Amino acid sequence: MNTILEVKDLSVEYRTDLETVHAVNGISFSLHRGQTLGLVGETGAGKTTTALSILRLLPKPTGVVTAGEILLEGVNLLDLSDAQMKALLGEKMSMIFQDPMSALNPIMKVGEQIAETLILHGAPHQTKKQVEQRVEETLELVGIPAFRKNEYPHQFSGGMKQRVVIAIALACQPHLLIADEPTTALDVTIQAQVLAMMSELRNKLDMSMIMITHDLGIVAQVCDDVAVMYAGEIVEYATTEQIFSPGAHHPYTTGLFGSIPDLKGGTKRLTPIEGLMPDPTELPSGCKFHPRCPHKMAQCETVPPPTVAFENHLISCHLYTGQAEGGLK
Amino acid sequence: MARFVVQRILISFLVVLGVSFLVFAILNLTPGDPARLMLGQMAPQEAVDQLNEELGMNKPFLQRYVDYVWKAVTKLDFGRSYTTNEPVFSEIMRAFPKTLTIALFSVFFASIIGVPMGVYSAVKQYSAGDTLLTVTAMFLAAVPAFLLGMILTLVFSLNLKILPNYGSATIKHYILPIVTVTLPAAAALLRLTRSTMLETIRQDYIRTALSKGMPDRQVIFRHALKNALLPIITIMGLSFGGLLGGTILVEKTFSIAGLGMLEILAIQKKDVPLVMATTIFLAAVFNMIILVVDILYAFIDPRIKARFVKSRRKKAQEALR
Repeated sequence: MNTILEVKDLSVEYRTDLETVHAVNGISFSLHRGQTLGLVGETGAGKTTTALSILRLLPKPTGVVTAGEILLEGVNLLDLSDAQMKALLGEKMSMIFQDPMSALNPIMKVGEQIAETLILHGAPHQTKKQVEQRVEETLELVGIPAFRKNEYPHQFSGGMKQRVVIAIALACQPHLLIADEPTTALDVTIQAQVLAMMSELRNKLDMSMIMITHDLGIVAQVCDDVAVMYAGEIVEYATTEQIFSPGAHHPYTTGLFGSIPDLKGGTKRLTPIEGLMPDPTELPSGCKFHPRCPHKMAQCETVPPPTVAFENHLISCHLYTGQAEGGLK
Repeated sequence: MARFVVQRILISFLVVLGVSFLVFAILNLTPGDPARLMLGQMAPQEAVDQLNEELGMNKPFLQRYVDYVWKAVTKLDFGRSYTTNEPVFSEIMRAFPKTLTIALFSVFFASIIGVPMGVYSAVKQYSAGDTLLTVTAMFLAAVPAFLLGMILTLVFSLNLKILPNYGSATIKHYILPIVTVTLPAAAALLRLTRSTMLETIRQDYIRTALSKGMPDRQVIFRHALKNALLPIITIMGLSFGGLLGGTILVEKTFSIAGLGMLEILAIQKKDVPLVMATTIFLAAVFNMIILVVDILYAFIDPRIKARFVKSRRKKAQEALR
């Protein structure tokens, strides 16, 4: 199949004088054209760091990619010069950030903010009128009346602001869109609208999308594949259907589902995962989930778990050693 | 927008009026007899009494205040100096241009030096250049003006003999005082610009701009600096206002007969009309500067403007009702 993005063995650290945070530890995944991959996990699992390293927007000078490759349409982004990277950003791939309240420049008209992307990446001789027309089209694409282009961010509601942020990201019709919890800051009805719109636009513009979220409901709604992240690692990688079906799962994934209330069954109490995410400056040895794992075995504390493949369903856990149909991967 | 400006001018006027009343009341409470001050210790009591009568000193306090304000507003007559017997307004007008020259040039140079260097420092945080700039700025901001002035005098006037060190006869005379005021002001602006820029470049909208693939330089100037300018402009305005009244040390160091010196002399000699007039004058000028800063604010930040200007949409909505 046609792969647009391939991340191989990516590791990212945040280094300060005092400590080193191991934010992402050797993750690999790939994304096919026109598909949506969900990156799921708790706060601090390394989801946003993964996204920022794909866009090479890690905070400087603390954020460092220590190993791995990021291939966008076959080109390793980590080898590109800054100028080459800038040419790709906004044009071939763009990002939607978590908080629409602060993601827009408060003293610039929204139309101008959309136009900037078009001017940076557009045809060299486009006229002002052409840019204006594209701005209006883009606004209408995300459901904002074109006449509002001359308004400032403070004149928009939260949901409308997120639409503007999406419009900025989509202005040049990128091939890859990374959405970092695009609906977390919005209330539930607006969430549904924005998500529906994003799925629709993905199909319309034939984009691929990485959806970062901690909301399994969103995963069910928009994602084709899911990668469950824990302490900077992907512990389970499956299709959305597989993740939501019973069967073999990583104990962490099972724990995540145990934390969701069931509307039909008479669940009295939720069963949250005991304990907290490990300190990323001092990750546990072996399987990073072992201090919280209900199925802990002796080797979990010392031996890093193998990745076991059930066809295209990957689980990194000692529990399934030897059970894999496709063997070790 | 016009409504906002008019409203602000009215408020400024009230503030100045309040200041004038306070100063008038305080000076009225201080001991001392105006006529005695003017005529001297040896003058006969009758002459003193007569002069007090002529000056209207025997009238009730409030009536004197109203008279004072009325004359000041209608005829720009702030009375005559007790010491020189000249109209105080013309004394101020003689001293003010000198102070204004120093203040204007200093704020101008401080801005064109301090702001770009602050931006550089913030963008290259913790680099060698940043460290050098911030340490120098800290040093300059800590050195008192008179010491800096004396060092400059020693070097450029006494040793190199290329610049005059007192008076205000030619433009050359202004160079050392302006440098003395500019350096610490530039240092303060550098530090302020650095810290506000550091805060601004960590904002989410900067990341949004970067994610558009915009070159760093453009992100810094189009997105970051414009947002960081708001507090910078405020401080520039305030320090300009402060300089107009507060270059006393520099004026003294370089023997320039500016507003600061006039003020000090007036206070030392208890020259009531002069103290009153300089204080009111400074209050008025300060208010004007703050007004200008506020208007600039509204031009930069649409959120502030929105509070005073009705949007076209709101107007249309109201028309529909």
